[in-house]
Amino acid sequence: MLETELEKIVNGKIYSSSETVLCTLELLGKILKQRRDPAFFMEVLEKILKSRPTSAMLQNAVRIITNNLINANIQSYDDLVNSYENTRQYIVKKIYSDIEESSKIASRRITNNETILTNSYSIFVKKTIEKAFADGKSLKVYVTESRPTGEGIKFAAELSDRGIETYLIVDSAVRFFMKEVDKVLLSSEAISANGAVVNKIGTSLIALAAHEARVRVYVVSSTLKFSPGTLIGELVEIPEIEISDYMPEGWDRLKALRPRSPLFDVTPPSFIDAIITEKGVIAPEFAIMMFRETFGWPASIGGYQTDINELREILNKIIKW
Amino acid sequence: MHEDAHRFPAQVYEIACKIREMKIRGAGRIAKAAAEALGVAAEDYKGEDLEDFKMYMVNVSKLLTSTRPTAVSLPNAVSWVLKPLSSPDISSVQEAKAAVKSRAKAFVHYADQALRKIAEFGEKLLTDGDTVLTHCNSLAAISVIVEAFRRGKNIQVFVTETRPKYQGYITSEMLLKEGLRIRLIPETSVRYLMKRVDKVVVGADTVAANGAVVNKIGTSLIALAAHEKAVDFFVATETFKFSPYTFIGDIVPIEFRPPSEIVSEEFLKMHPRLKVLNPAFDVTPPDFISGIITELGIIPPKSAAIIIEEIYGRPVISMESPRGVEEDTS
Repeated sequence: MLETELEKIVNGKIYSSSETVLCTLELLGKILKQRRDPAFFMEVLEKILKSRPTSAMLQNAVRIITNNLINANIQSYDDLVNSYENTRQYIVKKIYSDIEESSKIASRRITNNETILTNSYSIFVKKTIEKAFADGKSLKVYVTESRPTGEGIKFAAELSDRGIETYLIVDSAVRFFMKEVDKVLLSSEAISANGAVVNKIGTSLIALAAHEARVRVYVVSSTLKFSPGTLIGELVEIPEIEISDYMPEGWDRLKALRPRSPLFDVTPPSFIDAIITEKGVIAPEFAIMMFRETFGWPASIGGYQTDINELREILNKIIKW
Repeated sequence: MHEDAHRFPAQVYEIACKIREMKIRGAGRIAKAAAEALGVAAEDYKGEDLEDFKMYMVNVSKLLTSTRPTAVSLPNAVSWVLKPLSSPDISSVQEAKAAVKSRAKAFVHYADQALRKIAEFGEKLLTDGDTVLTHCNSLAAISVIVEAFRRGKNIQVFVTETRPKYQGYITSEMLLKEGLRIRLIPETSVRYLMKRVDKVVVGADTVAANGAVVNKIGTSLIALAAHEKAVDFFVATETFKFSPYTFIGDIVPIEFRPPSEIVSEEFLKMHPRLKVLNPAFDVTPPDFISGIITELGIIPPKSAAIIIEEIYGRPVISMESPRGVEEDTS
């Protein structure tokens, strides 16, 4: 059963990056409690991190866990379980409160009778639209289906089920409809030190079309999604996935070629009007100040591999007891 | 239904239906099919009244031009084939039938020749080692790429899937059959991958008088991404896709197709409030286009009017010529 949960996370069947983090933390907690096997715990954690190398929120969550476990005075296996559980609860609370705060601020940017365009599936964007709608603002929302994975279809259906006037369009129709759009709302998988936003493939194309049409682009995010490694020159890794699972029936010869697609792309800061975090609205180029506030200065952090190694050392000590 | 619809041969209906249902797709193929249908209709006509024959042919052309609104190749082909009917030299049904039939044949021949010329001119734009991106399924664009490949140039092709109907898969199969290396890509990855693209070659459904190109939805977005990266963007098209109607102020109508092409009927029933918008085409501004490859030569897009004048003279077209319907009602 734990294995099926792992499969779901690793195969990208959970689309929202925040949800992925929540599910991962829960799964790891269960493993600690049920299996009492720190080696398996590390194995699973590494597997998930490798499958979502772009997710800054996941890496930051691991960083917080590592730091807390180092600082906690762990004397027994139960101490470890408790310490992990406390940290997990702290992170979960932080994620939910970030979603609340960021979406509250972002919803204030939306005025009555506006047309919004968004892509993919994001809890941050969803909450923003729902809040603006709940505030009595009349909205029209365009959602792109977001090939190859197509989670925009689910997003559009959920918004329309809530009573929000929602239009599903194909990804390539973005420029066609952009002249009717007032604001583009985007989410993020990672935000780099220069304010560039890594998000679902197709995002930068939407931002480009918005830029051309002088339509405002907002990224609704959390400081947990800032990627501190980028401050010391690390590049955000963009994984490719095989798309044959998402191809239509038939076409066996083309499927046999196992075509691949990048899962994310990078939107340059010049296409973004603002990044909206739980701490407030910032210009993307101001992201570096938020880095200082969150991670300290000068940046003293290695890549997530450093954190994993540290975490493994701690767990090794515990196993010896 | 037209008043004398019962008089049309079954084959003409079949062609009209296939065009409407997109079993015959692509502006070039649609034009050829329409010309063929006119030939069949003329052959099948039984009667001796010349005026009645003319009415009959006009009604056949109305049926054909009403199938798809955006592709101007359809009314262009129809008015070209039926041109002899307005000549005073025609005095009998026999003569009229023969004239229409031979024009229909000549059109099909011209269309085939045009593709060959386009391939010949266009291949010179591609160089050895190029990565070419194409969108949808354009015979003209494919013929350019294949010709360059046949002449020994090592070419790799990025083919977009082309939602909602995945015509990129047909293009991929056609290019694979010719031995080209292809990579099938979702439209969303176009900007990400543009840094690895040397040239974009696409087809056209309609070219407007100002050089704007109406083509499969997504074309203008790809053109924008190419423009941002200073990648050359070429349009390969026969001149019968140039719209004389735009010269006299007509706007090219953009067809909206059924939502069920994007999501299933069941899904729509489960989410009754969800609206799906499915425009089939978009408009690429001439500023994003490096050149239009036609059978008459490679022209800068903004001189599209030259082609229209060359073909149709001045005035470019009579206001009464058959044209596409204003909006798709299906």
